[in-house]
Amino acid sequence: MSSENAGSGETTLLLIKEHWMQYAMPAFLIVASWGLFALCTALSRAFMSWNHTASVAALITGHVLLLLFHHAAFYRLFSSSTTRVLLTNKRILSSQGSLWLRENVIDIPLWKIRSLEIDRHGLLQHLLDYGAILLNRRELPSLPLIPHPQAVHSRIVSQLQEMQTAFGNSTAGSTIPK
Amino acid sequence: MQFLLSPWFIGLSVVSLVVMGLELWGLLRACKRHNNSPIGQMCAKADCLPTAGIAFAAVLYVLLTIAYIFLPPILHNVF
Repeated sequence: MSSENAGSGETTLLLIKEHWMQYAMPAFLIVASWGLFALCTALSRAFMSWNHTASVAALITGHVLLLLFHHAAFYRLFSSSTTRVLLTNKRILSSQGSLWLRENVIDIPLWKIRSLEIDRHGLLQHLLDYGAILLNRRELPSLPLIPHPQAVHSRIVSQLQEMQTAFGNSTAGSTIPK
Repeated sequence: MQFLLSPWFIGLSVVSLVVMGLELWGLLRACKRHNNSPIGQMCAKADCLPTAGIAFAAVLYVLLTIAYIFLPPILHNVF
């Protein structure tokens, strides 16, 4: 995708949404919370004829666990769903945050980037093709959970090379007065 | 059945609904903030929030939360 911000001459090159693995933990929490609730409800029924207090305790525990994990899972899911990374011809923009508690907007000018690394470890990251892109050996904020990091890395590198070529042409064309 | 009508359960249900309301409100604010941010302004057509996936997750969240409140009485009547 490419669109141009006519006012500043900035062109958007690539919009990146984080890999779907960011939803793995929330999905697990949702399933676990309802599973625990079902287990506690079953235990409550089993204890009903044996000990009424234990039965009520099991039921309350199930409800509290469901309340905590269910809402925490969706909180994390909604917080992750608004995370974006945008590559333009001038900078990298990244927005991360969580509902109500944190908002983090990172603006990295491309001219500040001296090195790029792809950090991908573990079988899962290789199989699902995602990883982190590290900038200036972590001196600048890194970009986590990037899908197809090789392609994104290539795109950033090609843009950096274009910038260097344009800078070289502009300095070669300028004349130094004697 | 007494538990289901007890202050405990009613209190948990009310807390659950309040938390759900806060999260959905926070989500709407986050979407609005994103759409007004530099990323949202530059990608207005390609990435306007909330997306269909976010809307689906929100609907699922509401349905599951309501199920959490009404499931125990239904289970109690069935069993």
